Amino acid sequence: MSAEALRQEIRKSAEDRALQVLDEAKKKAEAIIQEAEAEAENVLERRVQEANRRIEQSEKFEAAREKMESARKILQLQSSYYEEAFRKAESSVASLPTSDPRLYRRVLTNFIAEALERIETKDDLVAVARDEDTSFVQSILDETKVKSQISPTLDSSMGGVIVHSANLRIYYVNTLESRFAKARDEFRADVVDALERRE
Amino acid sequence: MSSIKDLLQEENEAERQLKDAELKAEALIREARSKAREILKKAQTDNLEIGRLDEQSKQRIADLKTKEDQEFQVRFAETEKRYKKNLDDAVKLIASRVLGL
Repeated sequence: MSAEALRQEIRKSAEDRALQVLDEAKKKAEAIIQEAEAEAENVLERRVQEANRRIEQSEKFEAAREKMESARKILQLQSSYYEEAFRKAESSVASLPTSDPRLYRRVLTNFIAEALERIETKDDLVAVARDEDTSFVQSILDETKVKSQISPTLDSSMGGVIVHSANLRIYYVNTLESRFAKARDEFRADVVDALERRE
Repeated sequence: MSSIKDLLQEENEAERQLKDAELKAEALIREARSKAREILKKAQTDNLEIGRLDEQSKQRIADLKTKEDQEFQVRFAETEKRYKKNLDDAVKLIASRVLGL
């Protein structure tokens, strides 16, 4: 091989090698970019998925909050009508002694009977009633065989009776106020049912 | 003698050419890595798509609130009407239970 041929061979070999180095670098650079793009796609997809989850939760929360708020307002409405029903009932019952004395006396008779029946003592009994009810209560007590006396000191504006043992150890409170208080606890579901009733 | 010198010169030139190619290759890869970092950073910080999803969600929530409010107004009015209608019955029920009738 002549020196010129050898020189050309060296040159060509160098050029080929340089091209190969550049070619490999280009391929590697392309691979780096492709890998980054694929990773970027994954990153974005994960972020979008996470955002969708967050959004879904947020929308569910908002929907639940709206429903709860609506339910709260309906419950508030129900509560105001429940209270109004009790106010009206209290007003109606409070006027019973004057508006319907016969009925009031029947009720009072039943209250006394209930108290005498439920109170468990061998001691003498004392009935406590409003001033205006004392003579009627006394007349009822006189009809019973229970040894009892009347004490006109009932602190009740509505009426009813309290029966207690003479030694003050046992009480049966049967005033209209106490029965209203009991009704609030015991009959709430029934009163709400009555308000909710549909034809 | 001259030929050997030429060959050595050619050899030096070849090495220089290769070194040059290697430098260019390194630069290409550096540039690619830099671009790759930018691509990833953009994917990590670009809020265009997520912002769009958030905006759509805001609209859905607003629509839901409007719908729920409309339904609630109807339900509230119906409920109040029913309560008003049934109030007297509820009062009678309470009175009769309290009076033990």
